[in-house]
Amino acid sequence: MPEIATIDANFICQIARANGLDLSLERAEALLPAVRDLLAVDTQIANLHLQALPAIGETWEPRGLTDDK
Amino acid sequence: MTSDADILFASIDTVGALYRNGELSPVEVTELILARIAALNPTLNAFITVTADQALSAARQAEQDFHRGSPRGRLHGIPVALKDLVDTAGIRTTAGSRILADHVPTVNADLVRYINSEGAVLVGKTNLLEFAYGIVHPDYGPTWNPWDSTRTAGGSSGGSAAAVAAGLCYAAVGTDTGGSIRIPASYCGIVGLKPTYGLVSLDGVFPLSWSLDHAGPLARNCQDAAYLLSAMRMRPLEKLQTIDLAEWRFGILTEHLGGAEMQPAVRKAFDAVCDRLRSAGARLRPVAIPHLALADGALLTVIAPEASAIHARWIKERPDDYAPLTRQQIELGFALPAVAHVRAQQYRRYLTAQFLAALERVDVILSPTAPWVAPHADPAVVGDEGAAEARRTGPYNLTGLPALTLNCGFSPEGLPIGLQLAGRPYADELLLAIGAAIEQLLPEVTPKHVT
Repeated sequence: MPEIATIDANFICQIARANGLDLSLERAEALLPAVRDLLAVDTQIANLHLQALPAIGETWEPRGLTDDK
Repeated sequence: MTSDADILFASIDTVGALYRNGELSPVEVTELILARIAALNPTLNAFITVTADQALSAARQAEQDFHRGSPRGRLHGIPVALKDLVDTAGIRTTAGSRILADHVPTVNADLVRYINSEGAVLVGKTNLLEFAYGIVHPDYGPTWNPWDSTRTAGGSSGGSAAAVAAGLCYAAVGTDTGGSIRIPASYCGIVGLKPTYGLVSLDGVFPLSWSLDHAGPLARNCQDAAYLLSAMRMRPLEKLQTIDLAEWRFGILTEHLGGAEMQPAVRKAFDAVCDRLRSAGARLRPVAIPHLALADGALLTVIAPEASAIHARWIKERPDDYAPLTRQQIELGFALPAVAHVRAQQYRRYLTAQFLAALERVDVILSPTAPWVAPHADPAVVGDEGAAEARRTGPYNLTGLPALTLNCGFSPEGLPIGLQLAGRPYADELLLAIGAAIEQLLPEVTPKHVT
């Protein structure tokens, strides 16, 4: 993954193609601001070091607090 | 009942009592509702499809049932509406899209079967943002707000919210992936509940984002919302418990009181309702949620790839059939790495733990529902305005915790302002009961007739 500031429309075309969608450079360019913003948030989430915290299942299950169930 | 307006805006309890004592019939009420839809829908554009024939048939059946003394449930003979992404057998279900414009399901969604089993009268399918995601599709046009028809009813369940607020039905079903029940309910001055994740079956509801989608009720008061919620779950409910507000602890979510987007009138109304709660003996204290600011981005990082997976075939084969902004948002999901989606899912569990820690110290978390009153147009989901609009609702989609909005005041120009209450998993009926107590506390802001 390149630095967020260096992500360009070519990179977006490549990742979209890898995910199964061909995008023109013009359409990829339009996605740039949103992709950069979301990857910046992702960097901050990565810095929380959530490690083995589950990514699936009921969101409150890791703590088991279901007293109103 | 002294006027048609009294009947159109009566509570479900009141209408049900009039049915049972024979003063009013389901056919009379359904005819009244259909006439009001005919009069107001050209202005509001709340309905994509009006099911007049089916409604009158169901009303006649309900009338016979009442004559036989065999009522089926709280919604028996009550006109209701469904957001047009809920499958209805034999009735087209467009999801607000050109792609599904001619789609006629052969099977009812689970929640439709349940509501039908209570004898509810379906009067139509309500307008929405395209696939509950992008922007309104030009084939359908926006739903306008009953309080000011130059403003949006909100998205994505705007048709359901406008229909309820304008007296075009007594309650309606919406869906909520980032605030799509609560934001339009707030803009239209009514009650909207996003239930606990998983509480209501989504089988037969067109998905936007499987892990964030919820279906829930919109109504003009909390008791009516509770009746529709119980019908959607096929769990009969008598009455909400009576709440003494002095016995409950409320947390004020400080991060959600400010921000550049917060309109002064919204903050003023929120502060005023907090003062009223204190006067009623309720205990209020500030609560803070660590790293809550990441929720805006996490929400979109979950929604976008899930929505894109759902639309993968159509976006390749029929891209021009989407509204331009919907198409762009679907394309966005293909441009995000998988690990970002997984980390956002992990963040949801982290965020939920922070909320549950706060909910050990308080019973309910309060905030404004939206930072502003109804704008003239819906902001795009992707972008600063869209993020700001859903900033106070999205965290409860991420956590799956139940969240309720009800009207708590009006802006100087007379537009409704929503108060949001959130609670622990499965505290849905408790939130509605507390909401009903707040309605009693604020009788001057409970909307009566919207004309």
